[in-house]
Amino acid sequence: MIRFEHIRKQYKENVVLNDISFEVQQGELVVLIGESGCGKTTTLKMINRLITPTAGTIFLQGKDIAQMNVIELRRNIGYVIQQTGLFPHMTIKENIEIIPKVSKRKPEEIAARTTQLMEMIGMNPDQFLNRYPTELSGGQQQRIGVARAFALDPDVILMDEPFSALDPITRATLQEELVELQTKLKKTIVFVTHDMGEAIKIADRICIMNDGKIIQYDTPEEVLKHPINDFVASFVGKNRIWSSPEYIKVNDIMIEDPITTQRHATLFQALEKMREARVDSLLVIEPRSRKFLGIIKAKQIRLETDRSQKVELLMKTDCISTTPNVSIVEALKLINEHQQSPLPVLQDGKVVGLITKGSLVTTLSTPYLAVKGDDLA
Amino acid sequence: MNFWQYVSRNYPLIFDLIADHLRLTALSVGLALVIGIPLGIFISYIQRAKKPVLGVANVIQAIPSMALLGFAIPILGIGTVPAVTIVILYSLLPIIKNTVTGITNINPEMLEAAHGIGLTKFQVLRKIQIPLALPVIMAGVRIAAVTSVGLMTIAAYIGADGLGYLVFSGIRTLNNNQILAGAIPACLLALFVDFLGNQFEQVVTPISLQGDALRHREKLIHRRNRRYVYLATATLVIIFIFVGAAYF
Repeated sequence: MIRFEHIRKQYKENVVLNDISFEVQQGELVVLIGESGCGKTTTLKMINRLITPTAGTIFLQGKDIAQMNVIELRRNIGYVIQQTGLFPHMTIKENIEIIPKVSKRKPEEIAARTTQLMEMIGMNPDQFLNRYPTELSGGQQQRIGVARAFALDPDVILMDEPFSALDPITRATLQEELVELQTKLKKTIVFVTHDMGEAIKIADRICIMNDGKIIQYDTPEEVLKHPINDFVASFVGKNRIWSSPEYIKVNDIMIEDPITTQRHATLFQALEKMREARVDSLLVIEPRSRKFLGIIKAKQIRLETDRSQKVELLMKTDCISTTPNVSIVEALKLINEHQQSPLPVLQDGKVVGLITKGSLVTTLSTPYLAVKGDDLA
Repeated sequence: MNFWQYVSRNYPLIFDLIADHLRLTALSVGLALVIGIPLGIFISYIQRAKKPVLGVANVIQAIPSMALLGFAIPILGIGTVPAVTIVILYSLLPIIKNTVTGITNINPEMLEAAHGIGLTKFQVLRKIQIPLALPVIMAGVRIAAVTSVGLMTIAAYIGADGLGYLVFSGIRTLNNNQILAGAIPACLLALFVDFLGNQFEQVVTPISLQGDALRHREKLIHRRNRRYVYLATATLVIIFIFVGAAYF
C-alpha cells in the first residue's frame, strides 16, 4: 500500500533520515515510534508530501507520490495531528466539512456524511455541530479531528501523536475506539507516537526508529519477545511484556520435556518415576509417536493397594489440553475453569510440553522477582 | 456674534464640508486598504520584499505631515488629488504592518494541518489566514482611519475640501467661531470613525475567539447583530455622501 524505497532526508549537513525502506500493508495499523528527533514525524509527513525527501521514492498503491497531484494526494489521505489541527474560527460542522466542500461534493451528500461521522465517533450531531472547537474538551476535539480525517473516506490515514496531549483515561478510551474503528473500517493507518504502551496497544506492526534509521519493524509480539538489540530492549522496557501478558504464549513458558510414562507401565513403576523426578503426576504417551493418552497422578496411585496394575487402567483420559500458540492468559483460564493441572500441550495430538499451576505462578511472578533483584543489586 | 449664531447662519456650508471631509477620508482609507492589504499579504509570503516595503512605509510615516504636503505641491499641484495621495501614503504603514503581523502570527502547526488535509495555498489564505488575521488587520485600519480624519483637516492647507478649510480661514481672519465650527465637527468625526472602526474590529473577530464566548454566546450574537446595524447605517451614509457629491 505504502512503500518507502531508500528514502533519505538531509538538511544541509544534518542527516534526518538515512536510507529508510519499509512497506505498510493494506489495512494495517503501523506505529512509527522512537525518541524525539529520530525522524518518525519526518517519515510520516513525507507520505502526504508536507516534507520532500532528499533522495528515494515513496509509492502509494504502486504509484510514485512525487508524480501525483499534491492536493489530490492529500485529500485522499486523512491527517490527524495533535490539538491544534482544528480551525478555531470554524464550527465543528465547518471543520469537518471543509475538505468535502472545497472538493465540490453535493451539499446533501456532505450533510449526510457529517451526521454519519459524528455517529461514528460517538458524538451527538445536534448537540455539537454548531459549537466551536474551544467549547469542547481535549478528547472531544481529538475525536472531531479523527472525524475530519475520515470525511472523504480515504484509504490511508496519518496520525501524528494525536492522543499525546490527553489525560491517561481519555487517551486509553480513544486508543480503544481507534482499534475498534480500524478493525471495522480496515483503513491503512500510519501512527506516530513516542509512547511504547500506546504502540503495543494499537499497532499491527511497530517500526522502531533511532537516529534516522529503522531499527526493528515487527509485530508488537515479536518486538516484545525478541528485541533485535539493546536499544530496542531498553526502549521497549524490561518488564513491558508483563503489562501485555496476552503476548506471552504457552510455547514460551511450557516445560518442554515433561516426565512421561507409557500405558503398560505398572503403577509402582510410575510412582517410582514421580518420586525420582519430584513431580506429582505423569503424562501417559505412546512411546514412539508421543501421542497423548492420559494423565496419571500420584494421589490416585496412593489410594490403590494393588500397584502391579497397569497405568492404563487408572489414568485419566478425558483431559483438556492446549496448544503452543495459546496465550498464557487463555491457559490460565482453562486451568481455572476445569480445575485441572497439569495441562498437557499438544500439537497434532502429540505431546510437546506441559504447563502446571506451578510453572504459571513462576512465570507470572518473574517481573516482581526481577525488580526485587535489581533493587538488591 | 457667538458660536451658535455662526453655526446657524452657516450650517449649509458646514454640512457640505463635513460631507466632503467624510468623502475624502473614506476615499483615502478605501484606497489605502486596496493597496495595503494585498501588499501586506504579498510581503508576508515573499520574505525578501518585506524589509524594503516596510522600510519605505516607515520612512513615509516618519516625515512630518506638513513637510509631506509641501513635497506634494511641486509634483501634484494643489487641491484634492495631492491631499488624498498624502493621506493614503500616511495610512499605508499601519495597514501593511498589521496585515503582516496578522498573517504571520498564525500557529504554523495549524497552517501545516491546513495544507496537510489538502487545501490549496489560496484556500488556506482565504479560509484560514485571512479570517484569523482580520481582527488584527482591522485594528490597523482603525488607526489609519482615525489618523486620516486628522490629516485630512491639515490637507485643507493645500486646497483640499474639508473641515480644515474652516479652521485655516478662521485662523487667517481671527474668527474663533469659524475655527470652532471646523474643529469641533472634525473632533466628533474622528470619534465617530473610531467608533465605527471598533464595530468593524468586533464584527470580524470570530465569536469563538472573543473573551467570554463560552458563557455569553447569546449575548454576543445579539450584540453582533446590533453592530451590523451600525455598520450598515454608516455604509449607507457614506454611499449617500458619494452619490450626493456626484449630483450636486
